[in-house]
Amino acid sequence: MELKSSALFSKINKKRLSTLWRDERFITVMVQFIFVLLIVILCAFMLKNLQQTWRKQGSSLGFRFLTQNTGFEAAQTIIPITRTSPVYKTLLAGLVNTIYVSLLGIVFSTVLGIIIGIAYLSKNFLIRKLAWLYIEVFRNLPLLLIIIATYYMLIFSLPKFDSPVIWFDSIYLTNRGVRFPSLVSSKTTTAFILCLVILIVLMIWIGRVLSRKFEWDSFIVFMIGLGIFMGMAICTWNFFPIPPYSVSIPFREGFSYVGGEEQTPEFIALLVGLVVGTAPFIADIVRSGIANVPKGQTEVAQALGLSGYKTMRFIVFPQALRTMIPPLASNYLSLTKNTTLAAGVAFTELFGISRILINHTGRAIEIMGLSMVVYMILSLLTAGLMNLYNKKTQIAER
Amino acid sequence: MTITSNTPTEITNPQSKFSLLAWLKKNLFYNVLSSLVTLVFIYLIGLTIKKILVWAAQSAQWDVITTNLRLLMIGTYPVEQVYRIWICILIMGFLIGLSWGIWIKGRTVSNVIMFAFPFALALTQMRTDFWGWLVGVGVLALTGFFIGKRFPKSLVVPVLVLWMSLIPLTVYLVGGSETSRILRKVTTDKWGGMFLNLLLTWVGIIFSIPLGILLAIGRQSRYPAIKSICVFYIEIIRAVPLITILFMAQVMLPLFLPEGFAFDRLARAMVGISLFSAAYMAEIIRGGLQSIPHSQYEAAEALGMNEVLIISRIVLPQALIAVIPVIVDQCIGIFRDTTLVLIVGLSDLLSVSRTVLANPLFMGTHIEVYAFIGLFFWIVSYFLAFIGQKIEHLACAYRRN
Repeated sequence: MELKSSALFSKINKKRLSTLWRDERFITVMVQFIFVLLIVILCAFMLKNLQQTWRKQGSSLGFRFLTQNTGFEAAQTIIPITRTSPVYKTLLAGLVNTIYVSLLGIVFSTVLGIIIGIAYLSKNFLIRKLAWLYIEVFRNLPLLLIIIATYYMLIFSLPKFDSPVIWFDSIYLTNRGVRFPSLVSSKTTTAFILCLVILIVLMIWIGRVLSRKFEWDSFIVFMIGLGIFMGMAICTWNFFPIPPYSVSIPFREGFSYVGGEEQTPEFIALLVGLVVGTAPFIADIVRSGIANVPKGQTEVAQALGLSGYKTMRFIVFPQALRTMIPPLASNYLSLTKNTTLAAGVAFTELFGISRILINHTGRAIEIMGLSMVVYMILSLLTAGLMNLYNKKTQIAER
Repeated sequence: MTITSNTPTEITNPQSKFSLLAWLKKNLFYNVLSSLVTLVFIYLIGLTIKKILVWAAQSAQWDVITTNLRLLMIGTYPVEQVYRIWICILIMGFLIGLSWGIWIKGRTVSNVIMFAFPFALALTQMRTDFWGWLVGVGVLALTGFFIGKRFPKSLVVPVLVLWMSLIPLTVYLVGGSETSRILRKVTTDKWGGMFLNLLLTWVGIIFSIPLGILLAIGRQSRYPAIKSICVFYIEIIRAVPLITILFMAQVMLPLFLPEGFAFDRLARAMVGISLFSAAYMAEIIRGGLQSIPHSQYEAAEALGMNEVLIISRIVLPQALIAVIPVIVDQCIGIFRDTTLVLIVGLSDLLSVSRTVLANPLFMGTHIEVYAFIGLFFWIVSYFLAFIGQKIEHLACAYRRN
């Protein structure tokens, strides 16, 4: 009896063991466990090697160096950097440069891309083919090649420092950079801008009330608002004892040019490269976005008597925009990441500054890690903003 | 500028004969503004073309290209060993010919393009022995083409295996080994120029597609641990610029590996490029996986297939076919991105061109050099796009049968 039961028990046990391998839950846990274990072993192996190398070199991970002096002077940064600036401030200056270049690049490449995208849809054969040629040529060229070629072009084709090309008596072109007139702010600038902002908000509010509640024609409201705004702005300008802005025109003084603002060939080459290299992709997005709006939409709009411009502005473009936003966002992101190609022409943005700092401090892992984290944050921010916008436009569709 | 979609479609009589005047009127001079624009553009284009032609024929110093051609093509590879690269090109020309014969079967236009690539590659050096090699490549490609056309069925597997083994073969032939007496060791810092760009591209494509497939399947997996790790990897890699990854691969990879595990600069760049583009490939392939309707899974399950079979036999082939154009775009992207190795100190085409331009003999010839490089990139990109198109047609035809 006893023997029989134990035999039965073992049989059941055996069956359980064999069914265990077929049990969904068991497989789920096991597969994941093995996978994670492999990853952990790999990481542990790499970390152990890292530790050994560090022990040999006598160094370790640490971020205390961030407050030390860098000991080098960076030209062409928006935040001024001197020899005594701490490392973190230098990195910050690089980040500001990156953001500055990428914002400018996004604006210009969008403008160029939209122009070319619309030209591609033109009825005129010649313009269509030219847009096609532009897209096909610059799409297949490496961005770095465009940037470096532009840089050399600028350096070699612009005149030497002594004999600048002068446009309108105020723009100086030499191979050290382009110097152009700029606005110089004074003590009253902030107050002036504040006044303008308040004025704009007020105007928009009044305009909305007029056009929504009293149903005035929006164009007339806009023109009246613009007029009042201009008048008020001029009054405010004169109201301040010191003018909020003065124009600084560059001029030559001995062996240098003073006044105005200067952009170096490195910066211009980077910007031109980014714009020219990204515009084909944006043009293609714009083209396919507009072309993919069903033809019935335009026909209905025309049947309703809307003009060509109004059809584009109120019917076609808003619908095209919805399909254009996600690919545009990824292109803007890649433009931001492509600012690192400035390393090819030695413009000091985040990656360039990181490289210099690594040479100065020898902290490769920390500095590269930091700048990678910053790029990640920038990417996530852009992606998040675009997602928000996307959601908003998607809901409006219903 | 008017937009085509704005105007109602004109219904043209298909039987009406093509007339130049009508075409001109419809496409170039359909109203006053467009006529004006057309004339202005014709003038501007004419002016530009004339300027370019005059420059190219008269003032351009093309001898900067012809004298430095070998440097631009293969970098500082030792002259007496160049025949090894030629052998690689011969093999590649033969392979291209074979593949063409097997799969594409060639018409006249295709044949011309087929030879453009090995010939472009074959411009390795303008020496006396140059033409012999060139003719060799052409002859081998042609033979390959006819052999492939003759035995299309039986050659498929060997040709695919040969394509896969092209990288180790090239690396062995070009790099040599220390023990071998015939193939002496040539360290990778001597590899350079256009050859390096092409090698890096090929390595990037071959490694990133399988890795990308694995990552994409992992991302679609129902196991949360696997899924989250794959998502983490893909998102991290996609959020940072390629240069930082290349830089990290150069600086950090040696730190993470055990000592004595030598990894040279070129291999590190290869690892960086492959790991980077794998994340992008994964996202592309995921798009393909998502486009497969769920009924496909259910039908396969009803037939009693297990998970591995469903993915490898049912879902993945369809998903890959659906995203071939995007994958080809990404491959062209890899090719363009190989120029970034300049920044981590490898001597690719762009960085060799810097060396050439630094030579005082060739001061101010940057436009010629960059025009040449641009043309090269443009041709190879077009070739890749062309191949991608052919593969897509083949895949679609295969799917229909």
